Amino acid sequence: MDTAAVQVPIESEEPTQQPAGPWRLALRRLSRKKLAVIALVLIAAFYLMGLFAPVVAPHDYRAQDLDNTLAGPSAEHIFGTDRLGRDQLSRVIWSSRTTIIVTVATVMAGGLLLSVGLGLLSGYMGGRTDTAIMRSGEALGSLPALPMLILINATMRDRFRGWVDTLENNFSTDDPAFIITVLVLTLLAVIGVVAWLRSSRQSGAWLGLVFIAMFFMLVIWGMQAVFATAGASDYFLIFTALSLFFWVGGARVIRSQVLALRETEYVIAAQSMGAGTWRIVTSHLLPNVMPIIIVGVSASLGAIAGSEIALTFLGVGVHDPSPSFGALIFDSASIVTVRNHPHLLIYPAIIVGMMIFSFNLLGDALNDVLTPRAR
Amino acid sequence: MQGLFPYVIQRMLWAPAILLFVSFGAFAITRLGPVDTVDVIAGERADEEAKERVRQELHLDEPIIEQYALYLGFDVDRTSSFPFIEVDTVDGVLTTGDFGKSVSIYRGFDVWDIIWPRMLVSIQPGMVALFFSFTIGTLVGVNAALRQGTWMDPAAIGSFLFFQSIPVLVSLPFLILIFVVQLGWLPATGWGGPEIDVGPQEIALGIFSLHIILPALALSLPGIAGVARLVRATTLQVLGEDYVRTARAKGLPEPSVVSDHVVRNSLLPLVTVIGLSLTALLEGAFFVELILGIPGIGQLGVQAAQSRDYNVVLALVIIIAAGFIIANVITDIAYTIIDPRIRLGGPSD
Amino acid sequence: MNRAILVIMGVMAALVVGVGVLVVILVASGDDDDGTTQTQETPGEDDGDGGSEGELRLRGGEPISLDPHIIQDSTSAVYVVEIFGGLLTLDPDLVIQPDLTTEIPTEENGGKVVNDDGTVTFTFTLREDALFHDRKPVTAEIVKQSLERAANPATLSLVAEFFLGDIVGVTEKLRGEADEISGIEAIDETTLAITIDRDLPSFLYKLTYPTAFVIDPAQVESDENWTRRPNGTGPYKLEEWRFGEHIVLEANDNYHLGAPHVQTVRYLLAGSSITLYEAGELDVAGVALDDLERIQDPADPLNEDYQSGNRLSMDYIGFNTLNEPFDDPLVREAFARAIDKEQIASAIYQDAIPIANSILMPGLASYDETASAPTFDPELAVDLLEQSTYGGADGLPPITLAESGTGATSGPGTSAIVEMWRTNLGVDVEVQQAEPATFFQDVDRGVHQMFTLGWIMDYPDEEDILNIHFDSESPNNNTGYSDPQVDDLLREALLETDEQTRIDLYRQAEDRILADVPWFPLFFDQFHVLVKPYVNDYLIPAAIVPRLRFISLSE
Repeated sequence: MDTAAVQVPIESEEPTQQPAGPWRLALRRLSRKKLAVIALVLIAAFYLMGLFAPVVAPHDYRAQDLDNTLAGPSAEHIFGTDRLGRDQLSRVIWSSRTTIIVTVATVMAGGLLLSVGLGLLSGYMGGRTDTAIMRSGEALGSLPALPMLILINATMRDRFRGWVDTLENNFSTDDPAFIITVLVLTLLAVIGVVAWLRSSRQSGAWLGLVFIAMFFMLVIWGMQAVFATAGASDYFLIFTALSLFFWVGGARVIRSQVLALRETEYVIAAQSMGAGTWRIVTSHLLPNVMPIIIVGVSASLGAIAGSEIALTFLGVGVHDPSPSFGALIFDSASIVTVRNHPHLLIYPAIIVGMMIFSFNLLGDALNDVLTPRAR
Repeated sequence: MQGLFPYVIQRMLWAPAILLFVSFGAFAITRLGPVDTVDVIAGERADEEAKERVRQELHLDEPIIEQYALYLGFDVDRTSSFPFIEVDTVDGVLTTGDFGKSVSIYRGFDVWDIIWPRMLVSIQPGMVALFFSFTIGTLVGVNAALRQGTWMDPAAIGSFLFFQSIPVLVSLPFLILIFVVQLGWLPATGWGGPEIDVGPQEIALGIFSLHIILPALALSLPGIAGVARLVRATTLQVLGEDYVRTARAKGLPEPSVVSDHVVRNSLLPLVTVIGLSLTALLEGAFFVELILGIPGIGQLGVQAAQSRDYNVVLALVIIIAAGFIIANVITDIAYTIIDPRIRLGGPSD
Repeated sequence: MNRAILVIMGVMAALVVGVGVLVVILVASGDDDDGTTQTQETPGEDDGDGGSEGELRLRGGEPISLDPHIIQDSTSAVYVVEIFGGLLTLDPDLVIQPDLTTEIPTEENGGKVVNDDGTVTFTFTLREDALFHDRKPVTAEIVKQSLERAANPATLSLVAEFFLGDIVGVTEKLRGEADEISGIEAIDETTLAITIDRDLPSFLYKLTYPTAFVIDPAQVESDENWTRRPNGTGPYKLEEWRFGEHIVLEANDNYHLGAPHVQTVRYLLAGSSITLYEAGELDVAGVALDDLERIQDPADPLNEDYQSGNRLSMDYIGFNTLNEPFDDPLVREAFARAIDKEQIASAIYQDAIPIANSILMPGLASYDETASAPTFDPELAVDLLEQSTYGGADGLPPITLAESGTGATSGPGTSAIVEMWRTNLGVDVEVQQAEPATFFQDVDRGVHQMFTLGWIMDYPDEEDILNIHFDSESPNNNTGYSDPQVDDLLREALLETDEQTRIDLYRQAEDRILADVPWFPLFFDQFHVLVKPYVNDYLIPAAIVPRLRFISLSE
């Protein structure tokens, strides 16, 4: 049977190798878990549905039909209609789109950067850097989330909107500068992949380059999509604020892992060989911390989707006209409405429940698979 | 490794600095933005003269630092002679523990009188939820681990994950519909129970009544799933260890060996989770309180933010921040004790 | 099971219980100090004449304060008008009645005198049997001190200027220029004279508002937490206010206008009304829109309990006449005529809310049924747009409709209207939400192009809606509307003492305003409630006035 230890290849050019073994192993084990596969399929379905919303949705999500309001499910409207006669199914599909754009963008741009970056730094550098980072995280994290978000939304929203508008007006996706940036990044990524493969997957540096290039691409794509989706920029503000308050949790976990790794033979050997901080971080620490990051990301996707609903409900999240699950639930979640028109709540609730459930399932499965286990 | 005691002292020393920083930050935010508290109170009646007058009375036209000092209890005035400022002590947070009066939610009432009873109410469902999360979570986790490979493992965790995935906003109205309206088993929403005088007013100890069931349920479910996964993971890990096999080979009773190691290994993450949950207790669960009509602190916090009641917001921030810091310190200390490998200094020389 | 787990559970349980017990002990031994509300002891008979009995349970909002001099919201007013009283009051039909005075001062009975310098002096004679809840008599000196307190800057009242500002000397006191209000004089124990700066027919209405109510100056000065056990002059006393839970009022059996019939009124501050009502824990419940259809159906068991009535409030769309493109009246009219109010009323509001075709609402003396705001005519709307300076939908700049709200979506009415503009006019309007405080400030500053808003009248006088919003110099004019003819009409009507002339003047003004469309009225508001059969005379006045003492319970 497998043991808990990570496979170390017998031959290696550098002692700090990132073997391909465990990843393939992990993937294989993941595919064996039926629940995880189901979760992946569901998530893929949601993403596709969201991405292709304009094509998939049977009706225009804004089209009102005031003669046919609050209708139950029918052949024409599978999920029924809402107070203004709008097709619920279409609204649900478009809401998925909003959720996807927003959660991916904010996780990538916000949570990852802060949690991972600061956690790595803090753990590896230790000393005053560590104290500074941890204390400030503590200070930020000690603020009560909901009241703070409401205040920030109230005070900063207009200003933020202004910036976004200027950005939108001055930059567009047709801009040559934008296209060139994207091309350059893609080129870098491709070069990185090729070089990495050619070095028989030994060189962590090239892998690092690929990661960075892809990361920036994701960030740019995310920001562009978020700002283009009217109303979603408000949510982006809120989530940046949230990340600012809560990076300390993830950073702590990563930091403790780094603290443990710091003392391993690999790292000490690399240090004695004169490897610089940057190299150690990217080649040795980052890959080993990757499982935690992946698990963390997948778990937080579920939490973010859940909090979008909560924040939108309070008027601090996504706004009209962007359809969002938060808005759908806001319209339908009062006891009175549930008694009289349950279909308004049930269908969106099922969909969003399944979505969050899939994220959680995946996170759970990844956790199982990526963390060394017995048996 | 640094000594434990010096470390504790060092960590605690940071606390006042952080509290000051955090409270000033919150203070500043409430005064930023296009509108202020007086605008909020005034609403539609936009008599500028009246608003200016009230602003002056509330010292809202003074520089932020002076306002903050006033809040802490120090009336700072500029004088023309050395040392150019004059400080008087008045009622304030640091001087008399006076958190001021509410400005827009319960105008004229002492902030402490408003917050304290509500905290005591919020803590009740929180404590019950914490209790259930850990006990049931542990049970489920261990059982799931023991039955790994059978359908019961994924079923147990999966079902709790499922309940955790449904937003409270969605599940509660349905629960109310079923248990309150249709079946009538649970009391129509709100809070009730035996009453107790807590000083400023009386509160109801809903923890001793049926009113506790729905909120405790809503708050426990996410916790159970989380704890269960954790416990299951460590149990699995322990079960595969060599010493377990050795123990089995020797014929030692498995349960005691396993449980000892499970406890030791899961202690660290559990401690972290407890730390986080405690602050959640203090913050109160806003949506649960809103939908169920429970007069708790979560609801108050949101209301205070929405109506820019800076005194209430600040008091909340200070109390919650203090709780958070204490929880963090305890967690860090626990880390150090439990895992001696974690050194708290710079990289090795 | 496993020992260790049992141990963990045991320790946790002990911890939880231990902390709980500790808290209970700490808390129960806390001082029972000036913070608690105490029952007011009324020496002597406990059941006054009229034998108040029974408990009425209502659903209420949480008040911001019970201090009559600083409140300005209807939620707080509900309680304040029952606990306190003033010189004059409004009865449930919104007619001015004497409260602490013996009669309304008029020129006929000599109570109102127009002085040579244009000021007017009202002389009030206080009732002999007017007492505070603690049986202390109400004297003229106390009333004066009460008004002084309201106008004291330290009281932090934001509405003192508006409701008391007509009294000579109040503005000076508020500005800190004077220590006393020169226009109020206590002539003897029971006679009070108030002088206002000009003859304003609406002034007596302002005295019925809480800002002019009488508090106990001795109590307010000595007791910091007096609002927890206020000594008022109203038909009910505050028994207990438990934040977030309930407010309990007890009948004042010595009330000079007649003891209330119901002994105890309990307002529940949380919980779903309809659920509580059906469970028998609430005697009156408001009906939400979604339940309305069901309850209006005669076959539904709750239909027997259903009542509805008018409220003095309305919803409208305001156009900023100083901003493009609504500086052009044709554009305003076009947008107005593109809205099909009938369809919105029936499809979204189940015809539960009456359509408003005028600004003066039913309940006001000048209400004119024949007054007509622009009607729905989509073709004419398009024509008007083309005739305007913008030449049509394409020539218009981007337009935003501002709305107040902190929820996730606009109200369905707003969304329907925006959609109508899209389909009928071909204009895409963006909706911008802002939280109330920001919203009101922006509206005041004239930042928005158009906005949707409501207005609840404080007292049933035309001044409180027409002058306040359409006089070009009024600080509450939120559309920048300025028409010299309308100004003249409004100012003349304000001071007109002959009732019929006043009505005519206001109607003329309204006609011009409606044609110019700075406001487009949408809907009037209505009450929809369920009342248990054993509750008699449950009145739903159109504004917040004392009414609990008229209700009785039979069983």
